[in-house]
Amino acid sequence: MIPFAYALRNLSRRRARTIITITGIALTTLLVVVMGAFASGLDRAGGTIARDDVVLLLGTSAEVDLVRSVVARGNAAAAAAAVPGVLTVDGQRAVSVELHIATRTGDRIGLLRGVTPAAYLVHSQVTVIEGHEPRAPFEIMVGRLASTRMGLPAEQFAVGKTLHLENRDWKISGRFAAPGTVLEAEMWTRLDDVMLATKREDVSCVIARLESPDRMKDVRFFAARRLDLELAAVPEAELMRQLDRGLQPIIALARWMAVLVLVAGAFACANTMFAAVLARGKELATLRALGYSPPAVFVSLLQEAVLVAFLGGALGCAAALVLGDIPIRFPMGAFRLDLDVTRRAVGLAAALASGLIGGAVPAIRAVRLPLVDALGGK
Amino acid sequence: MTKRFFTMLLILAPLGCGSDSESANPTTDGGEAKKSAASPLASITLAEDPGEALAISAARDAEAGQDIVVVGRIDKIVTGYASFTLTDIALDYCGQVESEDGCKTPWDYCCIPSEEKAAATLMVMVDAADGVGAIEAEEVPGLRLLDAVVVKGKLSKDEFGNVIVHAAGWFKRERPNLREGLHWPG
Repeated sequence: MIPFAYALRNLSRRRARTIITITGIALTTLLVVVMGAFASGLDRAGGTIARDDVVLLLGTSAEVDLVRSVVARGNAAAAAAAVPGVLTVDGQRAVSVELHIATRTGDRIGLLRGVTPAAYLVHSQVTVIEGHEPRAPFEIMVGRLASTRMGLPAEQFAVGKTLHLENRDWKISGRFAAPGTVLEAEMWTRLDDVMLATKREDVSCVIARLESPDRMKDVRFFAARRLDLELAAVPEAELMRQLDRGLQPIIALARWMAVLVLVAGAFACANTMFAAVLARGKELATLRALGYSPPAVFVSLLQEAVLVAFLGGALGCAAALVLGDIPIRFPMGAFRLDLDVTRRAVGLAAALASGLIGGAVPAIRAVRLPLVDALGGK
Repeated sequence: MTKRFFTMLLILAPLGCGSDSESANPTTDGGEAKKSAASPLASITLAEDPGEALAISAARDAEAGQDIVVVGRIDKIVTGYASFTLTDIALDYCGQVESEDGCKTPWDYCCIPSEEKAAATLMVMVDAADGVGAIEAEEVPGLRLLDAVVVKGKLSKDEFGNVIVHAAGWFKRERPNLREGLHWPG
């Protein structure tokens, strides 16, 4: 076998070309990591967090559409009190009457949710990470990604600051996290305050957490039987599936872009290796004339390609590490671009794959050339 | 050689998205035999149309405890129970209403005000010894949303004014033709 040091030395002999190739593969890797994280982040935000023991009671005219749902406040309260199968936590029913509205400050749109204390029993993913939940009139609690959703600086969403929404000032009382959910992009306040500020007399929905998913049929039966309440029972999982269905084309596009980027990386690597092989035709033939077998020459060339790809991949992964968690905004909320170890490992594997694919073909070409022709420089 | 190289790359490229092709595998639920055992709903299917039937709006005005025959379209089938809701046949479902943007759910009544629909709807259920009969989703015997169904049964009303027909028999009278290729719910 040709010593590994030979491959290493060859790379340093054509320094400029090697550096350009490594940079190209680094960018390729970074793009693969980012596109992969974008697709999985969107996927996670879109649907995988849906719980099968949570049901939404929406206005009958809205059906599977939270935005259009309107429920009379009295009907919502009656449903919250009577809906069967609801989980009880510390003696309290985990059923939340909520009003969801799109609010704006200037041309920035944010998501405002009016809630009662029972909301914290239903949305168990929500954790107050700073300050406290809204207790006094016109206090507001903001999600970690609320500033991203609105496209405003994070400093404006610090605890103690004031937000001007719905023609009123709201004092930020706390911040909350709800990892992997669209809730993180929202702002929560007391239901009565939102209704007062928006002059609404109706709410959006009633959300209940059930004792078990088996109780879902009882809630459906309740909604069908209590025609006077004009409600439709929609499992959260079903609602999330609807949201996810809308996002799937974007997710698929991101994944295909990652594949195309990988192919482009392979081309870049192949281009470099082709040039290297062409320029070193006589050298490689000499190695074969000295007694190195074609497989040995092939492996040496592949080592060069994989080494370049590995260095590029590692550089790309390091760049992804430096970028950290980037918040991304999308119409239904926001999510964090999680460039975690798995994504970076996939990026590195993609880089190595591009090195292997891009290196193998020119290496095969080099060793298949008749020795006499190669020595003659043909 | 170069041509061969490009071909190879093009063949290898899609290998990166194996998960897509896996997720595209068709489900196998078609292979599972559907239950046809006599469910509470199936067991009271009528062989013949009972004939003259009240419209829902008229049935809602009837006295509780009365035996009635009522006709309406299925608005909702309650998954898990031998129960469905019937809406007055005179009420236009979305598939009958020409809306500007074209309703995506022509099998329901989302195009009319909910209070109008609520006033023209009643519930049908099959009683069992311990309340309403429970059935599996696949045991709903050949019923689909918007089917025009005639139901015989006893009428009751709850304290909120909701009308319920405790069914003793039902007959499917008509199924509307909606456009092909619709992805029906449930």
